[in-house]
Amino acid sequence: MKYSISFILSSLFFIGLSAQSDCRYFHRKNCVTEEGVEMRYDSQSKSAVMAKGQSSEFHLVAYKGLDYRLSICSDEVIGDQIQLKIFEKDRVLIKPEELVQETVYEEEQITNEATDEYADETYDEYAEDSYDDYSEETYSDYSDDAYADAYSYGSAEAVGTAGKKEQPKFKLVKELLYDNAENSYAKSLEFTAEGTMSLVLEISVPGETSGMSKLKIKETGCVGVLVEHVKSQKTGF
Amino acid sequence: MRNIFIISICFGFLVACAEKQAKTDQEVTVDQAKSQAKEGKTEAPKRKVFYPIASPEQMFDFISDNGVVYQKELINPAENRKAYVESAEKALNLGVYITDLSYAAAYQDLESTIDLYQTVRALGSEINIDEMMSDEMMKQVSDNLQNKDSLAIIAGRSYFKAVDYLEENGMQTKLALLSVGGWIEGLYISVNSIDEFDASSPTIQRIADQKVTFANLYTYVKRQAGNVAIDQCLKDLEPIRRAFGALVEQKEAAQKTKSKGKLSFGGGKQITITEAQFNSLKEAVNAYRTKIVE
Repeated sequence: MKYSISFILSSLFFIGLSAQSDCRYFHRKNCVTEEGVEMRYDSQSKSAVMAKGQSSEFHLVAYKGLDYRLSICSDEVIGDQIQLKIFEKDRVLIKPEELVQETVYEEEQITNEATDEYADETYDEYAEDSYDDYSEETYSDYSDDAYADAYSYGSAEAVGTAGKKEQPKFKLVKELLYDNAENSYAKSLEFTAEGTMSLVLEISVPGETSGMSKLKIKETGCVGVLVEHVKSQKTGF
Repeated sequence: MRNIFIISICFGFLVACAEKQAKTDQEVTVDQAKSQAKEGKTEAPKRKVFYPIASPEQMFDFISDNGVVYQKELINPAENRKAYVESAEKALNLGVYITDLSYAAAYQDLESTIDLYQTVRALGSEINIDEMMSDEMMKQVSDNLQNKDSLAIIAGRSYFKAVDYLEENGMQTKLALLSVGGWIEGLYISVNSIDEFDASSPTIQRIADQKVTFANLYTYVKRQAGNVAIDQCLKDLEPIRRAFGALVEQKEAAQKTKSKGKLSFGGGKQITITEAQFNSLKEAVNAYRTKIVE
């Protein structure tokens, strides 16, 4: 009896571990498509263990002048209709007159962060605290350029007229570029980045969000995202 | 009975470890329990967020394709390795050496490639990444010394191996530091390979575009804040963040067009960099890189 129990426990453990570790190279083995032009493997590719009803985000950079192919693949156990949405991520300067409204907006975002992880990124890589810490120094060092960029430290108007007290605030927004649900859940997509883009790939596994108990192994599986790229071919004369 | 109890304890412990491993370094998990509880569900899948940082060989492929000349002196000398004592500096410099390895391999500097393989292997071993550079990989290197593409691919693999191992073992701090070290070294080599500033050159543009990559890297590292080494790293990255923050971004309206079955995503950002900004960035990168390697 005790051997049976230990066998079951050990088996469950090893199955669980293998689900974790086998996913590492899942995209390399399973997402490769023979169709289309030959492209180079892009190291932003990734695989992960996902559960039914779960979503994940992959933050990628697509460089200007490159063609990309994104291919998604998954274990049979979690279904075939993996949804892929591609968003472009951007920081948007909040105008002073919008700040009151935006305060409410931010509070709502924080409340909703559990349902929308993106809202968790209310801080900005280049703004907010960087402005708090370095606005004056930056102003003196790079006065001509730093504030000409509404997307970095704030507009010249915001700083020049009001000084540090009127600190520009930014919000992170994402704009939907593609949803494979509108394309029969296509597993592969080729696109050209006409400008350098900060993209968010949102991968959603179909199914009820019934929970992710550690032992519900049958409801978890690997999902891979293979990213490939090649230099864009110029056309015309 | 006692055995069952012990096995159960071990199982619980190991599952807990496995769960911890799942929260890996370049993966950030956001707990949805709060909202799910509101909806009457007690336990919900967690949303994972990944910030995959491109491995260094992609940058070197690019600059190599654009005629940038190889400069061996930019590589961190292998003999410096023994000076790295602290775990954090070992992780940072492992990233540096992996990038150097990719650089040497991309330009087919065979002597440096072999030296760097050994250095990466030794340093990786010092921070317990023994899997990273197997005897088999070393043999592949020696078998492919005349094949530039194969060398670059094998060099790239050492990056993946390190990342995979650190992720698999939940060594979050080390992975963040390795990523920073590798990325800084790539940028260091790139900015110091520019003889004359030309705003229209593809290499300069690619350097400016690193602002976007830096944003992801910084976001990812910042999510690990609270650890002494990470907090120091974030502090050290500030001058670089300021330098990138000064670059003007021209946002194009997002648009989508389709031609012959292929999509084009218009929009994106045109990031411009002036010579003064380039020099400021170079100064900030050189200062931090010097701090890392010396």
